Amino acid sequence: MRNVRLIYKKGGRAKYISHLDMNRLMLRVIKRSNLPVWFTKGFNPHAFITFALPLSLGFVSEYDICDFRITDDDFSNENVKNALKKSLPKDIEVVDIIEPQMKVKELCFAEFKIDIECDMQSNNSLKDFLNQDEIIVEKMTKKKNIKTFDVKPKIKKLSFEDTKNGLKVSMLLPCGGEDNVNPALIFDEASKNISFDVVLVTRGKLYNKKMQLFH
Amino acid sequence: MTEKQLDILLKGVQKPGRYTGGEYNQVVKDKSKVDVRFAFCFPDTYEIGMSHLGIKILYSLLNDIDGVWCERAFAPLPDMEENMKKAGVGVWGLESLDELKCFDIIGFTLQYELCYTTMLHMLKISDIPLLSKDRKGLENLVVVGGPCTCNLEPITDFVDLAFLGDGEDSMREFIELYKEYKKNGASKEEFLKAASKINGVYIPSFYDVSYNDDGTVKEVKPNCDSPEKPQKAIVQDLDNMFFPKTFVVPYISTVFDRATAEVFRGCIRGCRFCQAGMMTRPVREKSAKVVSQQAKSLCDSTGYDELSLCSLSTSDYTQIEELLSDLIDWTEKDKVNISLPSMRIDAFSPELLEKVSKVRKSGLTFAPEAGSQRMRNVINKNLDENVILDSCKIAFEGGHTAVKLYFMLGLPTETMKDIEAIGILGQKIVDLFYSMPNKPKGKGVQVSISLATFVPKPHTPFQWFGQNELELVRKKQQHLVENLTTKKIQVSWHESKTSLLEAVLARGDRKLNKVMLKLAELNCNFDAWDEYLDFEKWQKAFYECGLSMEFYANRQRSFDEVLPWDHLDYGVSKEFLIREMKKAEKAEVTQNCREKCAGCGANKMLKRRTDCAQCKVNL
Repeated sequence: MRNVRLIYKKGGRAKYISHLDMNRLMLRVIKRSNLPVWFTKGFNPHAFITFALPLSLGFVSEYDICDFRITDDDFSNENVKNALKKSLPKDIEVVDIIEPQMKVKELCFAEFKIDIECDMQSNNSLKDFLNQDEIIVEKMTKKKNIKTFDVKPKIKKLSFEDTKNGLKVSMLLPCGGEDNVNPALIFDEASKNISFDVVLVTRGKLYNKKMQLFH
Repeated sequence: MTEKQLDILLKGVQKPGRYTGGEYNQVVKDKSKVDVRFAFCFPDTYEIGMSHLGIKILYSLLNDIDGVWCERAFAPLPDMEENMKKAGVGVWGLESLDELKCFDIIGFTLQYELCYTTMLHMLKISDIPLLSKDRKGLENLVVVGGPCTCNLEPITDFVDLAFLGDGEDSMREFIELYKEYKKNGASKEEFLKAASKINGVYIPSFYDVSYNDDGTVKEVKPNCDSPEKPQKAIVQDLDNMFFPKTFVVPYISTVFDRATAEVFRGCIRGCRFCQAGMMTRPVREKSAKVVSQQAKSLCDSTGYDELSLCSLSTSDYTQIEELLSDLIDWTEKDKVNISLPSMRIDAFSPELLEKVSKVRKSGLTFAPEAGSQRMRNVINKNLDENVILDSCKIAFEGGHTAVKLYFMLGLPTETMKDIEAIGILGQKIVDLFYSMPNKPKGKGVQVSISLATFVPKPHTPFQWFGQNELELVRKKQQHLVENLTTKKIQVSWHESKTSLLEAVLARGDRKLNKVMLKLAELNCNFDAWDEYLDFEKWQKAFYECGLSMEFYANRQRSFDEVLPWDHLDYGVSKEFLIREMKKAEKAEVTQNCREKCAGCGANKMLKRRTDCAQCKVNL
């Protein structure tokens, strides 16, 4: 038995699949693919799969991770890749099948690209907003209280690129067990005073603490 | 519509997965290369529509035909509709994202009467003329199928063509004809004339209805050379009938999110209230081998780990044991669970319980339908109280502590005594539990009684019966609750207004078209949902059209009245229905079709000879 890490892209209409639905989808993909995946031994045996990082509904991802175990050691990564390719819906694509090198809890940063449509004035205001030394945002806690905090120090990298209808913002945000920042938090705050449309949020590559690509 | 436009529409909408399509196994064709585009619409939410087996069969059947592309469409909930209105977009096919207007044929499956308004609303917000006469061309042809077409009269003004009975054969014939007529540039009239010759097709506009002074139907007559009595279609041989090799697998969870294998059509039981049991006669079975193969193909290609066997009263399947052993051969290995949703209480055995509860111990549901033995004889449920108690005993011994019982209220000849009997039966089950030395430890017993208000349906022996008025129904519900002496029994019931409206539409005539149009103007929609039903709008619509709900729902008909659906032939003869109604009044039972043929006449539809002495005479 060995561990296998599936790296996949999720785009198109598949971005409307919630995390919970994604779990069910992957179980069915595995069943369709006939892969010798290890099943739990409980009362309700099911394929044992783990997702590294949930993705918000509506976001596109370029580097999503799902781990499982293969019971047949003769089954190569190439075999796994081909079996999954046939069984995945069209908007979910296999990037690679690898042997996991890092543990899921080592995950630390995620790259985000946010496509925005707005006029020139909002374009500048938004850049100014993001370039401030302090960005106070509101977050609902699990106990349904609203807590406010400065998100700016958590934004590790920030860059802009002007596009035809607005701009593209790239940023690196903390993710994983220790700290997690959803870019929606920042843009919801910005939208209180600036008018713009978030057209698409793409989550790019994932990194560990040392900024090495998660793999 | 492009995917980008869809993204904008979906902003802030709950469960966007309902509206996106793109699921595994959906069929996408090149629209420049198809001749006929068919929008298969289910007039309810995605979650409900995608749980329906019929849509899956016909979706695959149509897409298997060269040059035909069938897509799916469902009704948007209010939050989505709001966004669509702002953007000026109508309902779309999930596969291409093209609006209904772009389709040659817009087909609706009508599974329950209260979806009529949703169907009209879907057309309305898609900018398609509601009335059949306002849709002049061959495009946007509105066709309907499903159980409700057995009395389509309340919506005949809106529908161009209806399928009666099994759709597999008639649908294929229809689509080939459409392809040909479209290519030749035929008119809608010419096409419908030709289509009316297809077995199982009913073109409402080819029939004129006249009325008596009291509002009852005088006569229904064809106004052209279409058949005098359109007959429902039946598939003769289920083994060779089309069945999908795979299903579209939804992303979001739907009501029934599993593989479904059809086992047989029809029912041998003859419960007098049951429309499905009467309308789907005669019984036709699939062989166990075929069912098992089809089920395996479905599970393999979808990845489902739950398989449900579909039929009326599945325990009446003659090859049930063979089938279960065939299935277990591969389901255990593939880790697929089998569920049997429709079982009679008398088929309940410890072995069966073990098979069903292998998965998880959920509640058990039984449907005695009536509380007293007399009442159960009236409805011909053919179920003895001892059998009910024995089954509960088996369930308790198997570790269950909760049973749910379904009853109907407002049945013909019902008295308050029969209502009390429901509570008494519940009490007997509670007493049984506590009398058992080996009862499950720790937990008390819970008996849930679910009451439905009886809705008399066309093509059943009770089709003449006047439904209990709302006030009487409430009195009966109250009476039952007042006579309970234990908290171990819980009683719940559905909104009886819904049952009233169902009764109105189920046995309505063409005069109701006016009301339906008014309801469409009032934007009624999702009326099968308690939270969306606006009863006052219905009252208003009836009032403004000068019609009364009581005339349709609560009026007792006489046997010699011409019923609005009498011109539709569903195989079961009117003489049989009258005979059954008369027996019901005397609380006399009729044996099931395997014990003794009751001579309903449905076997005449079979092409092969049967071994039934009574029917041979008729053949």
